[in-house]
Amino acid sequence: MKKLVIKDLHVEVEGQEILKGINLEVSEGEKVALLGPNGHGKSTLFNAIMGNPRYKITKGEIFLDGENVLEMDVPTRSKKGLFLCFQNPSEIPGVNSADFLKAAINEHSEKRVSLYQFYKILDQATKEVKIPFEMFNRSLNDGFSGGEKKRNEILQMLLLNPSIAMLDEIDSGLDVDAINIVSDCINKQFEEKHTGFLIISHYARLFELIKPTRSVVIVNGKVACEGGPEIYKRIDKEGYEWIKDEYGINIEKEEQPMNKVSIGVCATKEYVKNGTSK
Amino acid sequence: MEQVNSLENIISINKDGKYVFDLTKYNQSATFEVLKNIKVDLLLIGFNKNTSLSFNISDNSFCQVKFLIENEEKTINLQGNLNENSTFNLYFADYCKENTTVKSNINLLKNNSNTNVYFTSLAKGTNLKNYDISFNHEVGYTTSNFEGYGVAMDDSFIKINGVSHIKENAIKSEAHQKVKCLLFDEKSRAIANPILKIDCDDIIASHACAIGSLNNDHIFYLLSRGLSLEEARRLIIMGYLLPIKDYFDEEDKNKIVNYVEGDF
Repeated sequence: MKKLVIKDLHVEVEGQEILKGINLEVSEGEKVALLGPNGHGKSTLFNAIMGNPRYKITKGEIFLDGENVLEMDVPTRSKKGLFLCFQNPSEIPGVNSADFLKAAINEHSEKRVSLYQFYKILDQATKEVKIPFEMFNRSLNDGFSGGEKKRNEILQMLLLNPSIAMLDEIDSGLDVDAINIVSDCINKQFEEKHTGFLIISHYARLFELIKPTRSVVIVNGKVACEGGPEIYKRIDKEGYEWIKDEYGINIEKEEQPMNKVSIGVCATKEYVKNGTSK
Repeated sequence: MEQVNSLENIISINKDGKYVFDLTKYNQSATFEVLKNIKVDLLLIGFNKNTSLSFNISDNSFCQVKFLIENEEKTINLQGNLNENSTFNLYFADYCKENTTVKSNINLLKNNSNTNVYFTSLAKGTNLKNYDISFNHEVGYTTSNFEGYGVAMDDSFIKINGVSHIKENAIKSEAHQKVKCLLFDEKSRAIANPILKIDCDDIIASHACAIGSLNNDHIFYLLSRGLSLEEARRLIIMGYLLPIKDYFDEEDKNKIVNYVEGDF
């Protein structure tokens, strides 16, 4: 049974330290709800685990089944069983979705799949996530609605069958029917393949459908508390203020720099003048 | 079928169909008259160094012209004149190993005429690829679309000027330009000027231009699914250079795939 172990992880983005010593473990066969206020490091954690070069790891270790993840390049992390469902999946014009999926499946298989096998696998997966098969003749995520992009992420998870899947706000932008479809896929993957899940969401609705086995709350770039499903239920009702009272943690507010470009200001002129739009 | 006045190289086409014209037979200079109410698909071959072409599209006709630009240096000068309810589409698949210059001027002369110009250009070595594409919307209810994709490798240079001029009284017209260039190497360069000149109200126009190296977010997305860096780059570049193949017939489609896959 594969286990992802994160020890004292510190991560910087553009010189700013976001994660300040995360310790966390998740195994296959676990569903962990990951909660926390906006800007406190949840997505940063996922990107750092997956190896996004924008996220600089300054201290700490990550192991997958005893192997040092930080020594692996991004494709190796994927092939070893890590999977990230992106919050905002990239739209890549011109890259045919079917070509991309076939290449991804081949990278994860010992033997290259035949065209017939590929279309059979894809047909089955599209039925599970209820996306029209024809969509895969289009460019990757290009022109997909928000819901279609999220379901496409889930479809990729089904095709690549990871050991540990990280789902970053997979429920945002989904209507009620789509949330049910996505949660059914997660539950099926969990029951049949015993995939371990780390799931970020701000809403209890998804958690009620997939029933996490644990809850972990990240505040100020650290794990503030861990426990059972009662934690996400309490956060849904009361927010995060009780963490301050019970754990003595002062919750840092996300700082939003004032945008210099406002109504009446020419954005192009500002850009030329300052070299930035912010 | 077609009637050819060989002295003036005026080619009149009066019947629907697909036609292949070998420009060596016309000394690289020809005027195509597409007569009323017909639909034609033209493939032009046999370009020499300098080619000059003119197209007059009559009322209610549809004309599609495809250029597969290969081998030695080429300069193509082209003019189009569009009449009522006519459509004129141009597709340039430029895999020429040397410099290419395409100068095109399309006049939308009558109501409900519309044109689409789409090019893909692969520049290598010290190639200069120069695209000067202009549209004149002389009257209202006319539409022009210009879409171009370039990939510059080595020390090559891609230069694109698009000018859409919506003239006075050309109300309800639409003009769109979209240009994207990918710089593959440190010394590769590209300049694009998608210009809109608008002299009347009540029109729709847009222009967009993106020049840069490979998008790191796109690369990371593909790598995160297990693709190697080489495969990820290859898929993205194919995305620039291959879609145009769908407008070509099987033989040329295969040539385009071979040109692109041979390089990446």
